[in-house]
Amino acid sequence: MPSLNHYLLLSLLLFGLGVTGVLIRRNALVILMCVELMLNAANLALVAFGRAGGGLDGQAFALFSMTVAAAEVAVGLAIVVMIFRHTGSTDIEHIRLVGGGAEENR
Amino acid sequence: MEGILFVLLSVMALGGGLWVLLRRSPVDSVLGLLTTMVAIAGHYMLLDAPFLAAVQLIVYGGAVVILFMFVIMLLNLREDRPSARRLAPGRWVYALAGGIVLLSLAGVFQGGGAPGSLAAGESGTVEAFGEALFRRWVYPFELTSVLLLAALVGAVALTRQGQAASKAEDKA
Repeated sequence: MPSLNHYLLLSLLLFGLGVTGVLIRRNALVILMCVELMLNAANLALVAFGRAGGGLDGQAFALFSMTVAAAEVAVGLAIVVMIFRHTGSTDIEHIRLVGGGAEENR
Repeated sequence: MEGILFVLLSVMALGGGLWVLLRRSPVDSVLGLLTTMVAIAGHYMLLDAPFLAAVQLIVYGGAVVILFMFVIMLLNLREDRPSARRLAPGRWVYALAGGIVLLSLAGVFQGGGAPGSLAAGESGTVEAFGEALFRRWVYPFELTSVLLLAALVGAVALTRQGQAASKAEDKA
């Protein structure tokens, strides 16, 4: 029977994977995926805490966080598509819009 | 039984996460993400939250993963330029930074971790969850509709605007 600590440890590891992914990857799409990993880790912790505390509040929190995550993905991917149209790449190293860098990188 | 399932699902979730992180092709990363999402839905079942497990499968396993796939298809990233496949220049430093975040979070477990056991509480069936959602959480629930509408309009406006801009550039 897994305890609350087991779930927190799993959530921690998933969150760590997400953080590391955001830091080491250069593809904007994969970075968004890693953000999703972190959000899921937080959701898992919320549900586990909710279970430990009794009641359904933790699950309600997780549901709202899922809604926000879905909205975030929609807008984030729209931005990635925009960036791709502008620079022809999803590499974040190519996104230097401040100072007119986008023109140079074409 | 529950312990075995927990271990299996955890391995699946972490393996999927590693797959997202380490595979160079974005399509492989999406499949890793899908694995993680499904595993987490399984965890929600273990945590007595069947409604949330279904939502997880529909929203993440369905909508989000398909959206990522669509964008990859749209941008034709299969033949991605090699530059976007490479890792960031200071990757080892960054990986170390990620590890430090992990360790500092692990400090939570120093004092024996969180108290409290996962005693059988209220089950998050559709009936019970709907009751909570439409009584206690009804205002936040209604507010999310505004958020979703804003995101919808925002996503459409962003992509349309980009299209208009690129068309204007073509003409010029």
